[in-house]
Amino acid sequence: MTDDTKNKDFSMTDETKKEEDGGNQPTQRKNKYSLDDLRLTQDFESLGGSQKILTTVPIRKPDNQWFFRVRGGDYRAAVFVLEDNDSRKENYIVLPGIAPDIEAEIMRKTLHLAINRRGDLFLLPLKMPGPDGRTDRWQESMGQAIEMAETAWVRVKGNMGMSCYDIFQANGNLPDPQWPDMSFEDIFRIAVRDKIIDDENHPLLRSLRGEI
Amino acid sequence: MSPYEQLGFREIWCVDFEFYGGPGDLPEPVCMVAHELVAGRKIRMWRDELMSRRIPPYATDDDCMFVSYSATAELGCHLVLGWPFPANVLDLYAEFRCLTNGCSPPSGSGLLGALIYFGLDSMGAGEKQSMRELILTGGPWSDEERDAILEYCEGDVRALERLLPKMVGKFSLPHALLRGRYTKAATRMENTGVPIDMEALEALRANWFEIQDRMIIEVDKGFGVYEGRTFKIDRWDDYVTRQGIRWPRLPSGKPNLQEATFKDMAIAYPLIRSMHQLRSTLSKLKRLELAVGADGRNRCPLKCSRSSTNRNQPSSNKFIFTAPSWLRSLIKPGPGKGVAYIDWSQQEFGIAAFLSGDENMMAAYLSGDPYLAFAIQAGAVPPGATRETHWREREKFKSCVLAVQYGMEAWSLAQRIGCTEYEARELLNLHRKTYPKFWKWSQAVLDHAELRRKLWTTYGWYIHYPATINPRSVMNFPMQANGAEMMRLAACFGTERGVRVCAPVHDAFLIEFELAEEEEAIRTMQGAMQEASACVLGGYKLTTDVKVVRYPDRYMDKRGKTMWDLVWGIVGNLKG
Repeated sequence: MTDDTKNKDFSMTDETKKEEDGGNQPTQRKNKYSLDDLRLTQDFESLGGSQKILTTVPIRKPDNQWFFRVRGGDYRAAVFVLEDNDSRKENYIVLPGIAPDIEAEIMRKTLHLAINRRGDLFLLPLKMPGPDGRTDRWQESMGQAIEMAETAWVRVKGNMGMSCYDIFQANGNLPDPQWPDMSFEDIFRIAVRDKIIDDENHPLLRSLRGEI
Repeated sequence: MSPYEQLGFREIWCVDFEFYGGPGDLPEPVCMVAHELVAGRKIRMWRDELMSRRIPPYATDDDCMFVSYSATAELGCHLVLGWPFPANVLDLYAEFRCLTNGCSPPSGSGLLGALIYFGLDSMGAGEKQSMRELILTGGPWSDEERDAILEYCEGDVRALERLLPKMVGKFSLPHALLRGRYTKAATRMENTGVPIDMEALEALRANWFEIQDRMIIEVDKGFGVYEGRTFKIDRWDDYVTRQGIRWPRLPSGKPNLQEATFKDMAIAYPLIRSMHQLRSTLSKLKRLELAVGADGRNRCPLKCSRSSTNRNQPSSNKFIFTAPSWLRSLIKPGPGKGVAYIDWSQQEFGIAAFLSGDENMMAAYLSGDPYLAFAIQAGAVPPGATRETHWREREKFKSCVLAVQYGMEAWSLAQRIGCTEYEARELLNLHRKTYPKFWKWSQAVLDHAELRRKLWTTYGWYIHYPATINPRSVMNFPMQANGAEMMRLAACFGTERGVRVCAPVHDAFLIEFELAEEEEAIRTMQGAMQEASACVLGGYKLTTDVKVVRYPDRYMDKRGKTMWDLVWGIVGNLKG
């Protein structure tokens, strides 16, 4: 803020004094104060206000209209993922060794922390190569987009004919995103809060086994 | 310690004047009553005694305080009597407004309303129509009438005596005295007034009703929506449909014809500008009541602190700058004189930038062309773009900045710049993305209003939010109300440095000068305005633009030129 006189108060009620008071006597007489002394803060952020609480971080691919950025470094995690095809392909994180009987259904994915231009965070899943080390063009192009998104705003759109994502880089000189001041562990915890399969009797596993 | 001792002055004078005067004329003092509160002295003076004095009968030095209710009236009498202003002015009207701003006191904000608000005896105070009428006759008055007028005047002084102890401790005295300082500046502006071309005004007045009829005929030629003096809504509906204009509608489906809507649409569609001017003229100036005194000056009470943002709120049909813009061409400096219209460049953008501390926004303001800078920052035009190479994009981004300031929705912006709603929404999003710190601050302002139910300006003007709040108006409060603070300080600095300030105009001043002193007067006022902006913005100075008019030219607002030419053509025909 440009204001260096915050917490100065000459205002009228006790209640107000408690909020912004610098302990000055509101009825004190004339000419004691310069205009600079009389200046009250306009930094309403520091006086309270509110703070956005991060409650939801979806695990999803970016919408084909979003430009997004990916936070590099340690802001990613390799996990086992089970897709629930009945509920809009929701990604469930499966703890290792929980369900050896349905291993074929489970994929290894890396979740990358990403953000769109609206400032909404999401974990972008990228399928890892199979045991044979092979991957497909969808994953290759998405991996390429993720790499580019570490330094530039990009958008991806599925190209069915080519079986890959077309990647678009923003032309404008856009500012870098404002990442939240949180560790990846904290963000990850929010993202997977109700998406962890840590029990072999999880309804999704039972459903896949045909038990329910 | 008594409330008076607490205030720390040697003498505290509660003062009231009675006066008369025609519209636009300077006040003619009739009598004055003053009560000193510390030692208990009382003074009653009739007109002849007042006129014979060169200084007030009460002390006005730095150790004394002058208390009044709407002090510009009393200070206006000081000026016509040639008396100096008191060093310290406490205007209890301004303080009562500050204390209750946003709360609608049950009996209004007049002296009577303030007394009732504090549960005080209101007998003998406030406006009595019969007494006002008696005073306005201008005399002569019988001895009984004279006693009654003095008693009426003293009633208000006694009311001030009752009110002051109740209000002490409910306002910050240093800020109150700063507001009092502004009442002195406002009084000087009211006293100076705006120079008017009396010949032209008389020509308008002499034929005003006929001019209105002919204006309707002339303007309506391109529209065909009037039947006599009646504006036919269905014909207007047909007209806008024919022109392909998506006119805003009421829930009933009928076109929304409110002034604000018409004004917005006239900006978006220049072809309906003349119809907007016509409707505005007919509604505001049924009678041409511009308050112009016998000396050819437009004067009317500025009504300080009347609006919620602490801006002045002069009468819409008496003050030249609140009348339709074409009428401003009546402003004409006298022989050997000139006037200058000095306004802050993009004042609201500057306030938003420097109070929020958004570096991008500050850089955009300091570039000298914030609209183009915004387009560059948003990546819509290359860094080397200029007004000439990218004027179309600049206009779009300018509209976007203004739309944000007005709290406009995507739909309205789309109307204004002639694009799709989707494009307008994207443009508004660009503002959010380019200036995230401003938006965060703006949200904090809204949060504070919601949580604490009040906001304030840099110099202590408060607004309270007891009930539902309108987010757009709350978020705009810091820009409007701090803009008002800037105006008030600049008016103080300018008038105290001897500039003849004719009128404050939202984010500008009209000043008058002898042509030989033009440069100095303009430089002094620009300096005052820069200094005021630095005070409000913590050291950052906003720049100003100047438009000079020298005798024999007249002032011309470009928005009103076509209508002025039309009206003057009508006047010529009527004379011929």
